[in-house]
Amino acid sequence: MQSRVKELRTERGLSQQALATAVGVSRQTINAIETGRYDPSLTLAVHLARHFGSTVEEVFDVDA
Amino acid sequence: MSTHDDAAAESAPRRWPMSRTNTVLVGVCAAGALVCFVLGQTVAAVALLIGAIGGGLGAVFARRGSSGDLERVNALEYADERDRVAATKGLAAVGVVAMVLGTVQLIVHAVVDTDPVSRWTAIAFYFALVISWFVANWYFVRRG
Repeated sequence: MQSRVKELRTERGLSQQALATAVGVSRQTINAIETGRYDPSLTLAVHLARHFGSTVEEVFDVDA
Repeated sequence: MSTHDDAAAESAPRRWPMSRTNTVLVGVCAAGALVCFVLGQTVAAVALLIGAIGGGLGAVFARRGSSGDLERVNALEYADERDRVAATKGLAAVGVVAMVLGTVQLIVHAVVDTDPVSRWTAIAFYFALVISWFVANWYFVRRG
C-alpha cells in the first residue's frame, strides 16, 4: 500500500524517530510504512492521519 | 490496546528490565539450573544457566532505544504492532515446522522399533500439537 507519510512528515520537518514517538511505534515501523513494506493496522493508520490533521484516505492509497 | 495507549505505556518508566514472558523464561531456566545442580546434573545445570543468562541479557539489550526490530522480535521484547505481527508470523512458521517434524517423528517411531518411552513421547507430542492447533483455531476464529 502506498502512503504519503514520508511526504507529510518531511513537510513538517519531522524525523522518523520524532513521528514514531508521537504515534507510539518504533522508528523501524515508520520506515517500513514509508517504504511500503508494512501496512499499518487501522488504529495506527487513524493515529497517523490524525497526527497530520488529515483523513486516512488522504494519507494512504489502498488502490495503488 | 490503542496505539496511544501503547505510546503511554512505552513512555512510562519501566522499572523491570524485561517483559513478563522473558521474566518467566529466565526464572524457569535459572530455577531448573539450580535443581539440576543440586541433583548433580552439572552439564544440564550449566546449559540452563547459560540459557538464563543469555536470555536475560538479550532481553535487557533489546529494550534499549537503539535496538533493531529483529533484535526485539528475537528477544520477545515487542515495541509495537509491527514487532507483534512479525513475531506472530514467525511463530506460525515454527508451528508448521513442528507439525511436519512431529509427523516425521511419529512415522519413524512407527516404522523403526524404538523403546516404548520414546514412542509414547512421540505420540503424545504429536497429539498435543494437533490438539493445540485445533484449540487455537477454535479460539481465534471465534475471537476474530
